[in-house]
Amino acid sequence: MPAGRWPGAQPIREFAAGDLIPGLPDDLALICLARISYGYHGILECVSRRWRDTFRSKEYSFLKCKEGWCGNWLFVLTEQQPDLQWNAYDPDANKWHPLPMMPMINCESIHRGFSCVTLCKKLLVLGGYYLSLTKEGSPDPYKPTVATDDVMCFDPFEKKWSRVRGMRTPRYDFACAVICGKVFVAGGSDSSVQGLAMAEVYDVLEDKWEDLPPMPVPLVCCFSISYDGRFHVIGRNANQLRYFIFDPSDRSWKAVADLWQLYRLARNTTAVLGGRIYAILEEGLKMLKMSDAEPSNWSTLDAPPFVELPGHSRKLQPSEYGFIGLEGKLYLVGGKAVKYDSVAHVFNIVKFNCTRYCDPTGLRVEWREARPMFRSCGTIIGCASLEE
Amino acid sequence: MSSGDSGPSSSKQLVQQPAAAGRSPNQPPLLGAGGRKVIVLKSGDEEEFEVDLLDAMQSRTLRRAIEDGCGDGPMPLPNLTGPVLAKVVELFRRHRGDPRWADELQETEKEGMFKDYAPQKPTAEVKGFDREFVSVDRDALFDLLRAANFLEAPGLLDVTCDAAADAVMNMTVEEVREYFGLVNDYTPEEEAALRKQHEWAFQ
Repeated sequence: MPAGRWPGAQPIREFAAGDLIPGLPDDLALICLARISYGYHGILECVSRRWRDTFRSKEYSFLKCKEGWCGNWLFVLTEQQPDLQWNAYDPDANKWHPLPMMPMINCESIHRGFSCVTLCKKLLVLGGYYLSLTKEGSPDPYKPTVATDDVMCFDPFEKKWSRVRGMRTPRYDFACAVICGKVFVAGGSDSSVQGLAMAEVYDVLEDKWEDLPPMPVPLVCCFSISYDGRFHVIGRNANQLRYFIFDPSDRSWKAVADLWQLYRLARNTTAVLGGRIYAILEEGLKMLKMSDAEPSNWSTLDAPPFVELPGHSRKLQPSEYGFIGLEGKLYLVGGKAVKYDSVAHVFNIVKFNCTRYCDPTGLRVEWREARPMFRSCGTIIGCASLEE
Repeated sequence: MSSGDSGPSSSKQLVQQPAAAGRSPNQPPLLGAGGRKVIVLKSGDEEEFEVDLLDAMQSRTLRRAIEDGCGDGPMPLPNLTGPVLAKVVELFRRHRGDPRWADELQETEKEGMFKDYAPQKPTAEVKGFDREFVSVDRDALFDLLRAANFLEAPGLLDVTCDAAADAVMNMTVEEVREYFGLVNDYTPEEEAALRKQHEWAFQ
């Protein structure tokens, strides 16, 4: 049958051979490679120059972005990196890899008191303060703590940091959560003593901050969660714990008199996953459904196991770890503990690089080990998760 | 003309009837089992396959051809071999009603072609079939990839590209080079420097 009988078949495409993957057209090869998550790129960039250039190309990140293939990320900043090097864990590849350096600040400072959230497939690091370091690498006591309004944004497709619009009010140790695709921020400290009552909201698509009604009183050292579409803020006012809830639908703050059990929650021991709140308390891992407004409804799960050190008889329980939910799993990263050296009779601080995870919905919670962090350990300063 | 057979493997006897070749676009369409329209695909090595119209529409290339009125005679697909086309046709049949192409279908639906079309998520059985489908050696996988690309079939492309990506995921640098037949064009110093830079990847 002559080909002319079937115009749909014309022109018959010859398979153009490309050199990205011999035997496949380049555009098809690129689609295949774009499905590979970032944790694998380190190895694959070493394959050939062509591959290295491809993984670093705009075309590649554009294709990933177009298809929304950002992959899953666990972002972590540990204390021991004064140069602001964030690390990321790729659960598919089971690899930790360093992010490019955060660009803005001079290397002699460390970043503390910030908040970090993910939304619209981006990581945002907001506010906080920079501590100048002395030549010996410890915080300089003669330099004042100055709050910053900086907001930095990490794009997982381009693997680049950029500065986005700063907050209207510089602040540190503030409440921050994502609700309905916007970042809500409230309270915290600036240079004043009593702290801030001011609140604001960030629209990432428009790159715009907008003031919200202030909280009834200023709050410092805030803890916050996004839950049930509302912004829950717990903080200190004149040394008293206060609890406010902001409802974006009517833009109003409500004071909650009963702190219930929430006062026991803290930033690095609380994770929200699948509509439930998980907290690591003194007595172990607890799970809470906020809708059951009864303190007795905390259910107890199997606590993360202590860490065994080679050559040390006592198992250690880390503190100052990162605790966060990703893809239905709870991750526990890093941390440190005090170890007693019975030979020299001294206490030492042990820094951990371990990554542990569990599925909290199973009948029995089983903690498993994933790959430890790469060249980084100890106190987790900030962590956030991003899901594809 | 109608036939009781609708399986893709049993297509030969149907289309080798001389009537099929000489059909004009005005003639009523071929009908398969259940009275549904079928079309005939012809591979480069002259093998013919009968395909339910609903299944063929998973390919944008075939769909364009059908909408241009070319669906009444056997459609030559000279750059696909019989064994490859057989696998593709089988995958299309398994994925009948897959929502991955549901939105595109809605336009066509206005013409009443797909009255009995109901989108449904692939079942575990279909997913198992997909896995089996791509558990093939490299050359066979490349054949399927090229077929998916030529046919512009999103579902087929998904399954095959994922398989190609999965293949390299836990390979060493050397294994990737060997699998894809890539030449290492780094100088030893360059490669050593890059491996040092990506030390985290070799843990």
